[in-house]
Amino acid sequence: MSWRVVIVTRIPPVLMGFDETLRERGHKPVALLTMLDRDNRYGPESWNMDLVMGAARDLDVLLPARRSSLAPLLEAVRPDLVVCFGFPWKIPPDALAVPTHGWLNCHPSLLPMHRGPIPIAWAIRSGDDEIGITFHKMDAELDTGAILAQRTVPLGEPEEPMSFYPRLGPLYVETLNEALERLEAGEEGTVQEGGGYETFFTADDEWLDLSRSANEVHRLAWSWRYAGALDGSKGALLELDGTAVRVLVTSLTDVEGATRVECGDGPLWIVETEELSAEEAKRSSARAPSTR
Amino acid sequence: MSWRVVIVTMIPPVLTGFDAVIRERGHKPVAVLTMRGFDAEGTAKVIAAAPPDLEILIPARRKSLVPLLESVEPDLVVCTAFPWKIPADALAVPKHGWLNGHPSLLPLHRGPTPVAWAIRAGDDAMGISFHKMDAELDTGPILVQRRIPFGELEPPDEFFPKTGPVVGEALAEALAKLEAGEEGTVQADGSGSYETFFGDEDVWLDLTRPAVEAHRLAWGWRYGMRVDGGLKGAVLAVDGTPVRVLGTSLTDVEGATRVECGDGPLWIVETEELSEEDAAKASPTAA
Repeated sequence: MSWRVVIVTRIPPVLMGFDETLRERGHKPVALLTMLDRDNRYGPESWNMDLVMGAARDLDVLLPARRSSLAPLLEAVRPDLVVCFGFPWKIPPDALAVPTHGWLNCHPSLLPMHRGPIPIAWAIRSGDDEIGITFHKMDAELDTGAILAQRTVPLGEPEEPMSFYPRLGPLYVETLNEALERLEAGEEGTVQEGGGYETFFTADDEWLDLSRSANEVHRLAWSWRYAGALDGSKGALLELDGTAVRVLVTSLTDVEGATRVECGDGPLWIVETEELSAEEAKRSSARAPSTR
Repeated sequence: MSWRVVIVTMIPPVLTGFDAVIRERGHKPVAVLTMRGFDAEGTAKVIAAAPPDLEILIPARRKSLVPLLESVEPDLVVCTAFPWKIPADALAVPKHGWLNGHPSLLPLHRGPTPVAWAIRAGDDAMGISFHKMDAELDTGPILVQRRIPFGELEPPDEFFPKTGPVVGEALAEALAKLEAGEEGTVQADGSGSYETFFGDEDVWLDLTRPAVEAHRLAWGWRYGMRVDGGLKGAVLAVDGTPVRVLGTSLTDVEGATRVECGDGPLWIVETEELSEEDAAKASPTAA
């Protein structure tokens, strides 16, 4: 069995990894469907062209201008299956209905936990010990479809996204392979029960509140590294020696050279910060909690 | 009457210029169809230049043209500078066909590098011809044609931007004729000629030829290209070292190097060193 598969993503390494896995399983990737991220909201500016020029030579590349174009553009390439990960649009039912075997979506959480656009940030912020990789059959709601394959990834110590994500590559491939195998066998997956939807962080989440527990502050600072906000806010902010800075790394144990601050229930070490841009500093002072 | 129009091109200013003219005439550009693998930088610029309400379609092969076009339901395709020969089934998708802009005074200089050939042939003008594309290359009935004098020869990135207004006018007129149901003027059977890319035999400047011929070949290369990976001209050995000649003049220019051609002098105004790779290609073909 060889399926014509369309890959839908905004993330270049996902395109490369999915393309390779699909071919190894004997399927035929036929197109990349992506969108132009003109505001660099979903990734670095270079990703637009990394995707378009990096896609295998035999893929048609489709950049729809609007959601209503998804169905006709997909129909043009006659997919048996769509595999999707990291695409910001909610997919309308007519586009979901195009491929015979539907849309296989990857969501980086232990669904039904942490549905929504920034699940890793929410897992970290919630104090979870692990995140997940879930491949599920996409339905008309967000991240709610029947689960085909799932893996657990321990969260360990805080780590930069740019070193954390690439480490997960092999596990994504393994999970995708299992999901494809189940789809090929005609399995329908396990229906999700319960779960919640969490949206982007907002300005309300921007400031660290040292009256809270050290662990809570630690997790919020860490989670901002994995978060996005639609209102332009970017935490975690803290006033140190009278100046607002962005906290990049914190530790619950003493680290040489780190600044110790006192939280509601004990100390936290501020390991790394960065200065705010002039514009951010102006904005943040207007928003700084009055209790500070 | 408002038509859904797909723009097919690899040249960013063509996309933005055509888009503006099409909208001014009350039509609706719905997509740009381009390609990759030919000129990565150009593809990036086309994508960056695309108005946000256009779908962007990048087919991997000629066979994908029909389904991708059908998905955007065009009434008309407007095309300039797209390197694939368009198959008949793709020509048939829009009900008003494909309007192709070819930069020559058709039926003269059909083919992929018409401006280079016009210069090389000693023409004093190029042209822009909007014609209804048929299954052969650059042979369809002509709706509008404009003559564009070369004047003093100059580099393409200086010359082409000046041609924008006249190309835009010609497109607007061609659209008006299409809207009026005109079929255009058939290019007479057997008229015209097809000229392909310059090749190895065109690389070296031969100073035994007349000065004007060497002058025109050097400038022709500035508007030419090769897709076979061969050496790009015009190459001349200066003091034993092959260099690429970028500009020449038939009259004395301060600081230029005078060389003697078969019938008189030519001034070499600008040259560039060959890359190592090009130098390796040059040595076995040295005249």
